[in-house]
Amino acid sequence: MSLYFPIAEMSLNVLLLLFMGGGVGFLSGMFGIGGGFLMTPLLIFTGVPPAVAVATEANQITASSVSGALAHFRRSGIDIKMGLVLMAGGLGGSYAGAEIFSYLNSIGQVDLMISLAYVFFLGTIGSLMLWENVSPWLARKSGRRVRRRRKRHPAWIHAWPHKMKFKKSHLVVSIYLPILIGFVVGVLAAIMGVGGGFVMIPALIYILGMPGNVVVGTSLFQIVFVTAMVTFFHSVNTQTVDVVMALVLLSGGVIGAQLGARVGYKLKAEQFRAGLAVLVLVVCFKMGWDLFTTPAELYSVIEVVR
Amino acid sequence: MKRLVFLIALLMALAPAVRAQDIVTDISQYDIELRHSFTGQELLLFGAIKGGETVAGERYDIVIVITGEERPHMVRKKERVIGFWVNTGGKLLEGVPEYYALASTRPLLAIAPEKELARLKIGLAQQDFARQPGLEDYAAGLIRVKEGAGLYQVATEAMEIQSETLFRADFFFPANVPSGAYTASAYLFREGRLIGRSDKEIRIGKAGFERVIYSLAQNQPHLYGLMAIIIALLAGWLAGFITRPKSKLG
Repeated sequence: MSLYFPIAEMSLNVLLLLFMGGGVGFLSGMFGIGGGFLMTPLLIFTGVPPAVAVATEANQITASSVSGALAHFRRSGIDIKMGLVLMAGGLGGSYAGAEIFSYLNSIGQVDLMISLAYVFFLGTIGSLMLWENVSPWLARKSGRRVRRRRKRHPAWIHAWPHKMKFKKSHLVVSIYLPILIGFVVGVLAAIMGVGGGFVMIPALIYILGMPGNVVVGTSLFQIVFVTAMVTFFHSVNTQTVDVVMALVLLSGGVIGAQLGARVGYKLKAEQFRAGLAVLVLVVCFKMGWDLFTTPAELYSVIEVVR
Repeated sequence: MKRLVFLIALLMALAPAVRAQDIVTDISQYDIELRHSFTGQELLLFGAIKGGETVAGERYDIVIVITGEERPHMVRKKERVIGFWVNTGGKLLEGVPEYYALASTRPLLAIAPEKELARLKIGLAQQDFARQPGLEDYAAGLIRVKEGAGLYQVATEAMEIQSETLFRADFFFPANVPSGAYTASAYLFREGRLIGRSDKEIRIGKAGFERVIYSLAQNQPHLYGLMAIIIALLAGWLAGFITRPKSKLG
């Protein structure tokens, strides 16, 4: 069953898209991840132009994060003030990211940049996740005791000026820190089509030292707004947001996430984290492989709109 | 007497030297709509040689060409840079048809001399983009990419003239065919000379919902962006509302 997508200007099998949305949704429900960093590469592997994949996925993440953000809001799991400061940085970051994106698009290097960014981030995160899983197991084998070092709230951040008080997080930090974090995540969201939770959450915990009960909610709150802004900027700059495709992916994702959450609850998702790490590394490897191997066709063609 | 008149009329109609020969054509569809269910469209072009039977011993040929709108295209070539395959500087090719399909009775150069083909712009080699000096590799690359996408289809020796008057050719517009105004031209050659020609217009356009979405994205990008955000927020909220378990939140 094929459907014609007006912005991507191609026909794609709807069942395949629903299945992809469902599969990534399942993993995100099971592990509590956003899934953008898996969905965008999958779309690219399917033949969707990378620029369309990134912009469309940003739109889908807005949709798939909003109910989670609302749920956290209802049980007051969001530091609104922190979220707003992060958003201010995110606004600048997503604008800058979208500008970089459309500049690289105009000189034909946007696909390369997307691939390189994915290889770098997926490689780093996949390796860290795998190491986190394997190292205690290795340590146990060799009979050493596992000591977890958790660095929190490094001292140097107190040297930054213009401190602001965040009551909900019990924090007094320089306003530039959350702005900077929001900015970086905004850039990543715009050029990679991700929510950026995989950078945001560790940054909030290890750099700012936010308490765990508001981290996920605040991150989701920021993701909804940043991906919405990314959607807007890409719509205006490159007209690459395919709303129809985003809705199809969302439909699959919603069902998948429900199933994933149930399975994860029963099966203790922690045991499968190594599997997720391997999956991330496989996607990273495939992206990198496509950059290194001689392509079947050296030429690429883009129609010039005047 | 009546019979005699009829016979004379018939003889006159058939006499090759008396009336100039030409061709008439028709196509199965003049308007093609790109809707959500569009997975490609077949198109039949058929016609006849009118103005008398073909002369025995003389060679008749037909070439049918369907072309899309001509646009400049940026062609980029990948080269190895520290191990990576990277796009290097692109070349702009002018006068590239978005779509080009050709069917003929024989190989083009057997039908007419190259000069005549060039004058009529028949064949991919005669298109403006393929004749830009120094860009031959890029033009060849573009043709390969377009052929791979099903947008360029050249089938010489793909058709026959039946009963010395009738001909037909099947074409296919793939799912990724761009919208625009298309021209279907049929050329009749006798002994290497063009003696008849027929042109038809085909319109391929996005229709219905797809058309609304596409034109909004192109013409009102700010509005489209806002709409995309609002749709996402509503859809996400609705999805969360439907699937949220009654007992606990999130």
